[in-house]
Amino acid sequence: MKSINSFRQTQSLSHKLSLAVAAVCGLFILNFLGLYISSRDSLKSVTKLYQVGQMNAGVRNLKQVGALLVNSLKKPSDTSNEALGEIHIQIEVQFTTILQARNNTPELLELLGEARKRLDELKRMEQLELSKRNLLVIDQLSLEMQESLNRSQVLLNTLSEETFASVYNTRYQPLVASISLTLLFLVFAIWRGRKIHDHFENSLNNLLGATTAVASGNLDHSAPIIANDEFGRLTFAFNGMTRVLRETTVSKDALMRANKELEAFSYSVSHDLRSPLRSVDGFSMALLEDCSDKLDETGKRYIERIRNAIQKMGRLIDDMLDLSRLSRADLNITKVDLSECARAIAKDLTEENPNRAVSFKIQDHVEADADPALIKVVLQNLLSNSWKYTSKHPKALIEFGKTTVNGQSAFFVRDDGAGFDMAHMQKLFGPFQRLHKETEFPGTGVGLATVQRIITRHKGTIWAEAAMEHGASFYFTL
Amino acid sequence: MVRFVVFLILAFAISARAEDLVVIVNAENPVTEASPAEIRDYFLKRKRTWPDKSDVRFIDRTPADSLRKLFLTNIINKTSRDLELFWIGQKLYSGDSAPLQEADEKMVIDFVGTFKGAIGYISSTTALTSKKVKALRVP
Repeated sequence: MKSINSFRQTQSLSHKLSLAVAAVCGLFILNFLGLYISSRDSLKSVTKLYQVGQMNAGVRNLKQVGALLVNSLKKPSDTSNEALGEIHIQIEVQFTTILQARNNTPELLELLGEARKRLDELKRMEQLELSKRNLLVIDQLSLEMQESLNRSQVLLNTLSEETFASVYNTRYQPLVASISLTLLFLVFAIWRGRKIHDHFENSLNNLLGATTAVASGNLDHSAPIIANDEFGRLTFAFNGMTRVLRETTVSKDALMRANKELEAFSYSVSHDLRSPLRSVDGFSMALLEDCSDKLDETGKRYIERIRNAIQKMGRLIDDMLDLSRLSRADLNITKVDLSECARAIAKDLTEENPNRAVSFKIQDHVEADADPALIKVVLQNLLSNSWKYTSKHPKALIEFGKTTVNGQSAFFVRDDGAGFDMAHMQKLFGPFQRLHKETEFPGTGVGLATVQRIITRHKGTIWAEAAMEHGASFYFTL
Repeated sequence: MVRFVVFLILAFAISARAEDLVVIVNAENPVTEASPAEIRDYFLKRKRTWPDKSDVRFIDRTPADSLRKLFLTNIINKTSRDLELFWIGQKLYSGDSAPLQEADEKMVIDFVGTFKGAIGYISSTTALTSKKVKALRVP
């Protein structure tokens, strides 16, 4: 952890991704902004076009209303006072409508002012009696009013055409702006995405290469740190992990070498001990046979005890040699019928001690992939232990089979014998470790150590459950 | 000899033409003289105001009037047909309308006398009795 913390990260992938997302959002906003700016003039022109159309309609209406006013001046009898009032109102309404429009130009206002002046002059003529009204003057004023309005219409038409031309000329502008900005956005997104993709790919390939190298056993491989971001941090941590693994592997190798040397030494010592032991055994037996007349009873008893100890030591040496052999022998894995093997062992045990009331309950067709010779040693030890530790009970049941423990399939050997105290469980599989007194149950304390070593060599595990005087259950996997 | 006769005929024609129409303006109009080109500009609405900024109001004569033909030929330099087309074009492209037309000379004189900026033309034979109008000298 310390080595990981010592890595100084100056960049952050999440920061880079956030920047990319921010850039994409910015481009989206830019796109909308560009679309708005490029459309703004067109939208304004369309609005102007609408207003010009409204003004044009106002001028047209004003011309018609003006004509009605002129007609009322020439022929008052054709127009009622109410109609005349309505004409006056309409004149005001139309003028107001036109003047309220936003696109009034000074020239247009001047023309409308002239028209207004003529209309006012015409309205003043209403005050004159009919006989005093000069029709030619009325016609002239009417002509001038109409002319001003005509010129206003021409001006509005020109304005309308120009505005429409402006809309027409810029009709592709929003589309072009949108497409251009979208292309820009796409190019940026592709460029940025490609860059991020390359960075991810390079970093992952770098880590993948390092992982593959380490997995193939090259613990000296060190991945180069190509960026000071999370990948760099991960690579740094990976290199740290590889370093620790390398150191552990070196220690393990040294341990294995030491174990092998120890096993070789143990074998050598055991083997070499047998020769002087045989001499001591032979001479002690010769002493008993050839010099029995010279020995008193005490001497004979001592020599007997010496011989018993020698035999026990011989058994110990044999067990040690067996344990050593098991550790060094090559495994020959094949399909083994464990039920058959267990039955054979049970038969041997029963035949050796026919007086005992022991029942065997062995499941059929329990098979496993194992070394036949070694797995037989396992079953031999476990079943013999069960046989031994049920010897104090008048009746006993020994079982063998396959079961499931905590979701894991496991083989078991169970008995209802003396059992043991689970508090001493850690000593159970240690060599020369015994949970019972020699006088109660004889043995060298090597059997379960041998069993564990065989199970371990099969990449399996072994454990036990027991209670004093309630039997023991041994479970193992292969 | 022939050249002399032609000269006499042309001289007679010009003097006769000049005597046929008189351009009149309102008596309050400070202008006393206007060239045919200036009168043409006023008639065709190329100029809309007098030097004193009063609006030009031209009163024309009816197409059947022989004086009008003379006016168009001598001053405007257009035929009646050309002028008609001209005003159609003007109405379409600038909104201008042709001046009012009046057959009666008295009405013409009244009109010119009514508006300060009015201008018209009458026969030279018509007696100019109204004090509200005056003849414009056309060089």
